[in-house]
Amino acid sequence: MPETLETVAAPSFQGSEEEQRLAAQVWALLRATGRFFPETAPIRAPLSALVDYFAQTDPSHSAPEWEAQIRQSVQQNPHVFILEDDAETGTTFVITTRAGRAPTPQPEVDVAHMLPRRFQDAPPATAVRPRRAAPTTAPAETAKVAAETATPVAETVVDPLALDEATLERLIIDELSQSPEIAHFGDQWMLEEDVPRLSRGDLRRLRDYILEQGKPLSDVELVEVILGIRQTSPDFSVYQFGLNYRLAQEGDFEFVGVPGLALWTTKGAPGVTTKRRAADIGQDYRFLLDEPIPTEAPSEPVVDHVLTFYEHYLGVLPYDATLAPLLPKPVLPDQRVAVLTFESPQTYETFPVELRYPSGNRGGYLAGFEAFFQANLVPGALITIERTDEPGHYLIEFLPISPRDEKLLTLDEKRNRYVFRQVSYRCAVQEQMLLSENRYPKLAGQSPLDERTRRSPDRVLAVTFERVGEQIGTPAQPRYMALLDDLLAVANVERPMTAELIAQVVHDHPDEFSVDPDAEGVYYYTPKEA
Amino acid sequence: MSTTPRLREEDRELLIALLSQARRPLTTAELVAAFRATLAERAGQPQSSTRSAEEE
Repeated sequence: MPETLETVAAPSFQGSEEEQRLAAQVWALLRATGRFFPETAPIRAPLSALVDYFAQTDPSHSAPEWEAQIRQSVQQNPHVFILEDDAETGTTFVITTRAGRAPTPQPEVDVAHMLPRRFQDAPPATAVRPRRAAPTTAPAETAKVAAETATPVAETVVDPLALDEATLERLIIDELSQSPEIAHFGDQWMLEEDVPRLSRGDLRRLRDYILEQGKPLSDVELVEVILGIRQTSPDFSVYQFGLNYRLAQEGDFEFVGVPGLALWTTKGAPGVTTKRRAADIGQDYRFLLDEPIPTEAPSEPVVDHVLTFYEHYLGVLPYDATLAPLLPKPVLPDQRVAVLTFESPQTYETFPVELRYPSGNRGGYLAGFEAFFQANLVPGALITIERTDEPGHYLIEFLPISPRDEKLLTLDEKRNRYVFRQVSYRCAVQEQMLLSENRYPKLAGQSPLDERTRRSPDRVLAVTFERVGEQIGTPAQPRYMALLDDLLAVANVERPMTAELIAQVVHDHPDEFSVDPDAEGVYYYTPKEA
Repeated sequence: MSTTPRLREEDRELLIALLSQARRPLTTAELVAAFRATLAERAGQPQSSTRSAEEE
């Protein structure tokens, strides 16, 4: 329902910048709730309703954190708000007025028996307390009514000037992205009717050019080369937006860019290939979907990682809670892949890497390191990945050491058997993850697990116990004991398994697995009787 | 029940008008800044004023 434009200035708030911003938001929400109230009438909302609203719209803080912050902001501004506890219901109310001044508590005057009232009201003596929110600050009944009116806080029409930058921005994005007359791509907006269109011929030429170059191409290159618009042209940004917006609607093209660098590929263009199907690797990383990914960017643009056998063999890295915050977020909501470049300053090479985002029941991962890992690293190697200022460009490094010769586990693909081969390597490793013959002799000659067994973390863990554990039972009733470090190194030969996943499997299958209550990192496995 | 606050219809129209005037892609930040500036200008007073027009 359209409303008239109101010109109400926000009151001045006190406290830190953050407290002021939050106080302004609280005031705007309360004001929106009581938009039909008189200027000085108290508008009250339960603190819990405000906490729910903020916790839902910004889940980066928990509800208790929001409650503490709102209380702090409100208490910093006693000239605007009153905090009131209703002892009867145990509810705390935040109260203000549309004028932005804290309501003045009115002395309770019994007017029921005053002469003028007795002439007006009948029956006078039994008059009950008002049910509507009246301009007082105390009664419990009004609090209940207010609680009902305050609940729809979140669905009200708001005064944009009373909102802080972030809230207004989110509101505008929500509002415009649902408007068919508005075109948006990434962080940019234009009127749909002003966006240049691409002809069928343009689309064919764009497709042919991407196929000819054999790699994803930037919007800048495509606009210059195919649409013939120079970067110096005043309309360049319009055509750039037009290309991105229109290609995003074409089924034959796929956006694989990152914030700050729009890259496009097309059906049939070569991408990163892996020894296992992309969907199967995604399935292997499915457990990462349960792992919360921090939303905040890491303070340091570098992370360390210890390479597992699985990662080394396939040339992949997990999109997990450690790596994900360093990597670009998808530009488009349904973006499947982002193509990044990784540079190795130690080997003077740069190669493309596909960041395959989590989707459906598949976990996310990075693919494209196979040649680099095979040439320079061994499973157990310690690597660092560093974000650069260039969009989508990363550095990958390892710690060089004097050459070391050792018999390490490899997969003989022809015979489909694990074998130990003499390997010379020059990278620092984490000893626990190094799969040497000295530590795991029983792996020699074993076959990789069949696909069905591999899919199941509990079966992989059971086999891993048999491969590395110490048999402490009897031949008739075997029982295995193993250290977490060994389980971690060897389980990762077959599939990605983190220490958390192993702990989860043990917890979920108490009839087979158990943890030593006295010794840290010691696990047991008792096979079920057939 | 929705939990999202909504813009007024005239605010939505203002956003469309701003995009129409620009005739080039605007980033969200540019659009929000232009939107705020226009509203403040229409209100005829600086946003930081502590007294509302209604009170006066």
